[in-house]
Amino acid sequence: MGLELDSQITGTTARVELRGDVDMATAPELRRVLDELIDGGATEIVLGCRHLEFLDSSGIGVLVAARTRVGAEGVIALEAPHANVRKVLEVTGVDRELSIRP
Amino acid sequence: MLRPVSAVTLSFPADAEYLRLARLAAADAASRAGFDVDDIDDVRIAVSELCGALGACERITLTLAAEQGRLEVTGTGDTQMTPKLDGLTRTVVRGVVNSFDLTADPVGGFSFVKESRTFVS
Repeated sequence: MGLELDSQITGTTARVELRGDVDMATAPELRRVLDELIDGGATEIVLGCRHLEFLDSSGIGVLVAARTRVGAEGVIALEAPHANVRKVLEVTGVDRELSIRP
Repeated sequence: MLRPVSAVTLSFPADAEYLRLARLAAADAASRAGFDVDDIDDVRIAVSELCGALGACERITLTLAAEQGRLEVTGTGDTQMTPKLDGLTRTVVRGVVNSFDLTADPVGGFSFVKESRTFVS
């Protein structure tokens, strides 16, 4: 399995369910989806991470770029990330820039 | 009593699509070393990041040498280019392994050591 993304947008709020791995092979697809949502007006994006099994620095780069694009008033939230995903967020300090939800 | 070192060597195309395969092999080796889930995840992350940094070559050869509580991993490409790690990648790798090294001689590659935080012999 690579990465499956299922996104929905309501007004300025979007939800993306991630299933699989975000790595060098799949990060471009995540970037494309997030860029489309932001271009479509989303300023709060909630990423459902319950089924996200792996995240590496290429995925972190995508999340940081999205965080920058939504601006200071916007939100990029990760919901229910596994411990391994949370660790990468913490090691890089990105957990302080994103909203991490249980 | 410690088990003898068991080494596994894996060769695969230097394409991002094969990083998942490298992570699977790394997780298996870490499990054989007696690592807990957190340490296994650390090894998966390091292998994925460092193999990804070897991308400018045709094939990658990954050797995973496991003994109880310790795993030594080497990865080599087929060019003399030193792997390039951006700041984010370097930060992640530093955060998950005990030590790592990059080399261009005789070919571009990396090595790292991961020791279990919880293993008791």
